[in-house]
Amino acid sequence: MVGWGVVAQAGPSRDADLALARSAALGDREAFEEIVLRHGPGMLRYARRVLHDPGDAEEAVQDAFVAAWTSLEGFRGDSALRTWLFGLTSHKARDLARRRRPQPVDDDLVAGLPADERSDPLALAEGAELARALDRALARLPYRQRACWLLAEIEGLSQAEVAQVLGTGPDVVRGQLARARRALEARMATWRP
Amino acid sequence: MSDLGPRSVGGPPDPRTAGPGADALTRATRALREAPEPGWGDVADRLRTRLRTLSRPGRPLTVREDEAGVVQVDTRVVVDAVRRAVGALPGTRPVAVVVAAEGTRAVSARVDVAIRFGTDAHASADAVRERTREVLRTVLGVAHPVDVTVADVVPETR
Repeated sequence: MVGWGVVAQAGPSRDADLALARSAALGDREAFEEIVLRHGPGMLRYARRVLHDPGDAEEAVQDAFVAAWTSLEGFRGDSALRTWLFGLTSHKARDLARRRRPQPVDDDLVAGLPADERSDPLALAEGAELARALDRALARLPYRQRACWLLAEIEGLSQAEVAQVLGTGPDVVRGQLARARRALEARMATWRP
Repeated sequence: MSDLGPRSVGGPPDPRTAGPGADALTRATRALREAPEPGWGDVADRLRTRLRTLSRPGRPLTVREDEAGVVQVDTRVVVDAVRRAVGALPGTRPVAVVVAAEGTRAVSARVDVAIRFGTDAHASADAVRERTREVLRTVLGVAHPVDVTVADVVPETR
């Protein structure tokens, strides 16, 4: 069932996601596992960085997928599956963030980043350092700015999709992104390899 | 991803508005975006275990009722059986399966399907109806009427 009737592509596509969602809604657990594999890593990355607590982040992602499994029959495909899933994650993360006290950023959160294909150890080390510096800068942003920026810049959602996920308007998202970007640029200006 | 609205970054910073940290931010963003998420495998394993324990709520359908007792089957069992049977037909994929009931008695079913481009819609619909009625006869004991809708046409797999 997975991949049937889908034009070959490099990454997740809306059509393939819709096919998987329809199958999963009919009880196809393999299709749902494919959905988890496609979108889970991004959801975890997002949750970890908005919550700054690995346990809370995992709880948010698990709860989001449980909610997705039990309510997939109601998913009509009006929005992209990815947007819908990030909406569930965001909702769970916001609930957890309200219940928890603010936590200091944990550098270990990004341990091992980035493990890309470059063979140059200096480039790898620099990438990891950059990512840590960015995580520290992100941690100082207000929650909503951080969430907007992560969804748009790391997860690749459009501003309209970010607005949908966070339950706000595109103008608000545009403003939050501009402020987040200015703040992050200012903080990253002091970074030296 | 959809094409809803503008995306904000991804490329190099705009030199007219970029601050002194713009280049470092662009490179850090790329590093974060391209890196695999550490520990995802363990999280996925725990998630898989939790999901296995979950079931969706369904409705009981009465298969038999006599002095010896009542035998019922959940609608999820019927839907899953229809999904598998219709999904095995060439060029056809189920997108919705609904069992209509009066009380706990099934009276009919509706199956929406997507067919592969170039597939004969009439022949597919007939095959879907026949296959679904076989499932209903096997699971519920009665081959109830089945309405079939071709709801979508999808491209050929490359």
